[in-house]
Amino acid sequence: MLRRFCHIVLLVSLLSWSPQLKAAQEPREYQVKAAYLYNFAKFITWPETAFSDKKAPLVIGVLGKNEFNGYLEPLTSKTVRNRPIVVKHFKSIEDVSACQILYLSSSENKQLKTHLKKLSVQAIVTLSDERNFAKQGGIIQFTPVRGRLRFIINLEKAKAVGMKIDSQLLSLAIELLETKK
Amino acid sequence: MLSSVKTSKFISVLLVLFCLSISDSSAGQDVLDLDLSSLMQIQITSAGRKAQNLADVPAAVYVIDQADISNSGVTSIPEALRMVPGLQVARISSSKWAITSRGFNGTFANKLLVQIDGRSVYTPSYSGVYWDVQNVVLEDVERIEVIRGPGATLWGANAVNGIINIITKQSSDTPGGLVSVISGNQEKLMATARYGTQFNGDTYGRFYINRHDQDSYEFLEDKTDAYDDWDTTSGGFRLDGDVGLNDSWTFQGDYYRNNENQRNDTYWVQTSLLPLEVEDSVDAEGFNLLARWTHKYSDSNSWTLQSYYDDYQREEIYIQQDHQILDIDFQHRLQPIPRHDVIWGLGYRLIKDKFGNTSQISFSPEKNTNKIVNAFVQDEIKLSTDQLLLTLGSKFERNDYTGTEIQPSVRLLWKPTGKHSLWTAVSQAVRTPSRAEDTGLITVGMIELPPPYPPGIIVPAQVSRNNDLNAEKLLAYEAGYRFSADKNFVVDMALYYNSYENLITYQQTATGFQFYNGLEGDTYGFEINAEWKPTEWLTSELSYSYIHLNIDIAPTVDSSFAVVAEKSNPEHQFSVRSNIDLGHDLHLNLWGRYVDNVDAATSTALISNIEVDSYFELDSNIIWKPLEGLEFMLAGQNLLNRQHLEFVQEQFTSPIEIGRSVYAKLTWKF
Repeated sequence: MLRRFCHIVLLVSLLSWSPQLKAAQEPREYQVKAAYLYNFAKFITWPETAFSDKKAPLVIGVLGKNEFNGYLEPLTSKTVRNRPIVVKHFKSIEDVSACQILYLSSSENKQLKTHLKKLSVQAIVTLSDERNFAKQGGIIQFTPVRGRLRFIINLEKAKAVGMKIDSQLLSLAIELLETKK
Repeated sequence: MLSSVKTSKFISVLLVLFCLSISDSSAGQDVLDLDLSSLMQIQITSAGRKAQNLADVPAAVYVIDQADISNSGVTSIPEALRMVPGLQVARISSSKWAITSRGFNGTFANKLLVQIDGRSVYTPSYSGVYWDVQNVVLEDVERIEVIRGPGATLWGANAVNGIINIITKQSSDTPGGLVSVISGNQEKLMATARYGTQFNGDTYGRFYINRHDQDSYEFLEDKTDAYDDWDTTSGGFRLDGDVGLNDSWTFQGDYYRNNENQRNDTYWVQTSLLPLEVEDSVDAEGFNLLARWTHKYSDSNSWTLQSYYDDYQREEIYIQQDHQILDIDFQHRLQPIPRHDVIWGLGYRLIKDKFGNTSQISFSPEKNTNKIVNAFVQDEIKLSTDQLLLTLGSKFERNDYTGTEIQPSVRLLWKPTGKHSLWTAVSQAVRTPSRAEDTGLITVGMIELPPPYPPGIIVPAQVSRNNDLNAEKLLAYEAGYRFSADKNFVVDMALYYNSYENLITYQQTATGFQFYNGLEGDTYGFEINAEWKPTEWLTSELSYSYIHLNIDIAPTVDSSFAVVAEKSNPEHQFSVRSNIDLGHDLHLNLWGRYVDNVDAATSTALISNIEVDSYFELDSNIIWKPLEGLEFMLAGQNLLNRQHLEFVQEQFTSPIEIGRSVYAKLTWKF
């Protein structure tokens, strides 16, 4: 009986010598982040001065090492309030040109403070995963909770640069930073 | 005859499975089109990852993860534990197991601490674990952490030779439904249904029900039905939630009810020198509730408060037991000064018991309340370089049996490079006497009184209580080495020398026997485990363990009778497991084991002279995943022998052989 069993096992192994590898089907972290960026664009209203004209595109920028692996590019086929979406990658803070949303990659974590200082007067939704990013003056901080991606909004800072955030988005934030009245 | 029919069935199903091929159904759902609340529910890190970097633990640790469990085809926690190098797992009958770490195996192997989600399941009456009532939905297990060697500094008394921590997934990691059904010759039916959901943004929950019916095996002697079939029904829930970013909580509970048959062939009555044979049915029932709150100040500073209530009854012909246990634990981890990672805690446990005495086993007093109070502190210090880690700690425990016990340990870890780590440890641990040893009276036979008494006067030979017992003491010396060439090749080995004092045995008295701290001795051994993933489609794991026990009667004991269980453990054990991805959504798993011979422990063996032979066994299964969430498995366990003996119980039941098992399983996740 054992011999027969081994025989079959061997047979099955030999016949199916085709290691077909399948990548996990579950969405990856950056795929979810890209979807978040798109949703943020829908729920945030920028001051008119943030765009050069009424037809100017909405620019989503990534500063530093690009970890999105092409997950952002599909966004360019979509529009937000009639504005086309453009995705730009910036190598350093000096390259950052007009954009409305800027994701600061983990490669920038050590210089966050100086980056935020430079960007502070512009109406840019800054985003990062770094702990205390929102406290340091970033607008939206991604934070993992129980293996899911959630976010913290620094509402005070957003208001200060003239951005309006829809109450629906605010209600889903895990934490809101604003000065107590 | 029967087996060959089954085998050919098994083979034909294998072939059918192989010939079928269903095209891959990649659910191409566009994440970009999801709304915010849906995005918030997507898991970006998958559960079941090994929690801690094992290379940094200065102890012999092994982790069984969810993939190990689902690939192995095991249907219970005790069977899963066979994967752990250095553990001795022996099935006594359909519903009973003898499991220990590093020696001293027995039905009530008493030097091992077992916890399920932080709840101790070690029964204080006999100091053992009733494995038949430890129901956990295997699909919901995140991991089983096994520490061989003493862990008393953190976990307390009875964590002498090892600790098993069974950790279930947080309910946030088990969304959706799961239905699984198993049916086979030995596994008559195992059906599980679980449903997990998110109640609101911050609260998750899951609920389960489970039913498991297992068939009987056969007696070694005459191959008749061993009358050990049984069933267990259980249900439970787990809720997890967050309050803000820094507080989280868990509330969980389980209920079970078991009906088990057993044939008790050492039932003594005072009219006969020979035992009677009785058919008994065991009725076990219990529930537990556990609540835990964790507050995080930062990643390195947090506290946890946990409390549980455990209530269980067990009724069998020779004893009826009733326990209520309340436990409260507090733990705080902090870094008071740089380079020091301190963890300290306080614990309190109240155990209320009640026994229904019989002429076989009785307790005096019948009802009792015991309490255990403990405190512990451990400091993990980074020495001059970050490569050297010193861990100092001790537990202080006060119990009602032996007073205060101190259990210190010193551990040193050296990690010269990321690939190599070496550790060594010296620790002391104790096992406090059980309720049975302290207050019990156990009938082990009948004897006719010798002259000058007239012939025909039969009295019970009994092992009686001793309330002057000391705790069993262990002084353990350990060392280990880990090498990880890369992710695909990891070797972990451990060496130990354990020195025991005050081991509890029986000594002869004028009226029978008495529990007594009459044995001492040492054990030494070696365990090695290697994980190898040569290609993407093959994963294999090899382990070997060696143990040697030298147990002697203490010079202070004046006795011609002592139970010495030097060969209660297999000296050599091998295990090889392979997982092969065959493509076409098929996976093949093979698991071979070799277990060396052991002596049948104690009295039964003295009479019948039975030895448990060494054995080879093979488990194998094939898994087919035709669609996302749907899985079929055909599994065979103990395929090499129609049946084999693994252990002989010390009392009550004749040796039972463990038979071959073949089953089919369907799992549907939605």
